[in-house]
Amino acid sequence: MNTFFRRSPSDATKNKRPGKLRIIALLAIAVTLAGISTIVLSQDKNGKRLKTPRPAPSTAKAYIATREIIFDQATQTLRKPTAEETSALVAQISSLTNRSTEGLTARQLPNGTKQITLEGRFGGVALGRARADGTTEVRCVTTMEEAISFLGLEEVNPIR
Amino acid sequence: MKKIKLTTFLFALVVVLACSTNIFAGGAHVIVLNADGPGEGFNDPTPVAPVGGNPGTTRGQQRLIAFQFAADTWGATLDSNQDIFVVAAFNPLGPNVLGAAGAWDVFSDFPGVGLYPGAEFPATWYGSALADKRAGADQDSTAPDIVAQFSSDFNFYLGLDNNHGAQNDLVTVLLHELGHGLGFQNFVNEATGANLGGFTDGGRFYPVQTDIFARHTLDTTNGLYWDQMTQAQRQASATRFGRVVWDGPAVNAGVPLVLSPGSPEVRVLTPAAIAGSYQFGTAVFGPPLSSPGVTAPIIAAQDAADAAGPTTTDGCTALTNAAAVAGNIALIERGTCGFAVKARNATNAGAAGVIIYNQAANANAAPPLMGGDGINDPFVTIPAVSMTRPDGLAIVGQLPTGVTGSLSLNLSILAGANEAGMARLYMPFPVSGGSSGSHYDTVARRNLLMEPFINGDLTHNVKAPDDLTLELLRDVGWFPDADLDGASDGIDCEPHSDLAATVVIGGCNSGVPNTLFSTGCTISDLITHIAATSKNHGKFVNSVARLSETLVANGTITSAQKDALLSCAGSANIP
Repeated sequence: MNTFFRRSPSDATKNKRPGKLRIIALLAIAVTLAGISTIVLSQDKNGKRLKTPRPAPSTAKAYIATREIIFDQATQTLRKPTAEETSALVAQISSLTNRSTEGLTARQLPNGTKQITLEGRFGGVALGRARADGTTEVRCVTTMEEAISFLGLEEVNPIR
Repeated sequence: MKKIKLTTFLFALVVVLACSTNIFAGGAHVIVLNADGPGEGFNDPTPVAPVGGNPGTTRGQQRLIAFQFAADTWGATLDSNQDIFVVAAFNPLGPNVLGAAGAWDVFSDFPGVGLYPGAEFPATWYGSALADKRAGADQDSTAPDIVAQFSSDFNFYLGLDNNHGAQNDLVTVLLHELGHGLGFQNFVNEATGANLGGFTDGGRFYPVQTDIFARHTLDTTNGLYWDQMTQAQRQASATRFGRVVWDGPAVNAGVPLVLSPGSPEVRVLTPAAIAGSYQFGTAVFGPPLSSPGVTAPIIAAQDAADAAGPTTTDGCTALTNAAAVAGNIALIERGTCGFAVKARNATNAGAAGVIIYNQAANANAAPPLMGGDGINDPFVTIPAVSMTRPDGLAIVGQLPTGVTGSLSLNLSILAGANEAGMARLYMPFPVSGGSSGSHYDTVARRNLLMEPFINGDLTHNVKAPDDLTLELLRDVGWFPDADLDGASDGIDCEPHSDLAATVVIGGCNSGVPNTLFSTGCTISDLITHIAATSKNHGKFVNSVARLSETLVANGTITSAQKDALLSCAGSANIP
């Protein structure tokens, strides 16, 4: 029998409820979550709440849609995203697939533990591409390039 | 448009968070924190009929119930003494973005509490939920472990029975994305090969470090794991289709239980310099790859440079070197005319198979799925595949000395594994497109939950024999721990320990602290083991006496506590 004492069973009590501090902090996190994809909360003229991606920075790459990936319920046919939809889509996925470390925060605890807060980066993003029969092909991507390839977006070359 | 006041939004969040759910789910609690405001997402009041075992009567309720179901599935599968917090919301993400999830924080160099082992490797990033599990303690009580948002625009199937028909099953998509957040993800920037870190915050520099997923990611071309590579090597490895595998004991053991024989392959056999399995696309025309398939020299097809096709390599007209191509695999460059035209010309020349590689205009594109034209398709009677331009040019470069290849369904290899039976990770070309190293390869059969394509035939079971997700999570450190004492079940002397605060023998509470030892057994466990092997009451009491004396000798209990144990043992009706 190894009699090396490590701890009493009472120390193993499961942490089953979020503490007050945690709830408060989660509140802040949730606010941040709403901004993960650079979404701006807004209301349209009918009072309906919208979340639209912020416009891409002027230095961002521009893309055009080359593939019909949206199933138009009205006409029951496939269509390409409009220029506006493409712009919104690119802004959305460029934020969600962000794998840069720019602006991330970190800390080191007294016990040597290091922590980096990813702020929603480095995750998986599920994308949908409509088929002609109205069903949707779903793919999870982790990079912007994968996303634009799957969705049939092509970068616009400003120099012809 | 005017912006909603932040205070209004905060109030809504307070309300919904107060209503957040706490789910008990077997070995781990996965707590879904509803971050939607009133009337949206999880709180959408639109009436709906119950569907597929989901009893919710509003769209919001059904979303939350489906989310909880997926969370429960993971909670019942994994063991952790720490709650797993998932902050989730349904947002209007547009018609093509269905959702996203991932770890909120990463941690390294964290110690374990009690028997919990802490980080397996130093200077290695772990996702938050996994770090908490291995530490036996919450690494950051002010933050969630996973963040997730899903599309309120998309018409998911919200039933729990996987009977989704032509719709997309929300539970399956959730299981996949939560799988990333639980540890099925690396933290490498695959487009650049850079590890996570390399920045300063609060005056402290955080160096680049590898992650636990990368430590199991093996490139078979150079025998290096991703944590052993330079940034440039990792960047190159991220596009080596079919040659990067997962190396971990649980996945390796699970592969033969899950994957089926018959790996579709486009392989170069000679020369050795370019030998190996290549990424390829299939065609809607011609026969599928079969066994034994086609093994033959690869010959560059030649045709006239004319109006139908401006180069001699495009195969848009009848091949001029039909004699050389006959019986062999024709190599044709993409462009100008349709895929089916090229494949038909190769068929007419007597080729046994055809490879069509991307032209310069698609130099960075993946091998395409080759569509037909409805005219030439029926005349293609040989297997046809597409290939990337770099791969095609690599073959072209070796043609002067001869290249042999095969287009086949290799029955000796499991679909989704390499020749050694190790699960392939998805590392497709193009380089600039990065890759999905945090996924299994798409050639896997049966289909796996953590392939990039979330297929309609997936079950809700995340482990062998249906899937290999749990196995990978085991390999990154989610060890089984049924009693949550921190000792892995495989080495725990009692996987189902009695963790009561004091030792109770036959209903008699001795009041003696029920010490947990590094073996994973408590005093109560040891006495239970004695009871199970004692032939009569006298032998049971004698054995408990010997145990008690040992515990006194090593300072675990006092003499008075020994007497308390013996008193209870003597009065107990055991055996």
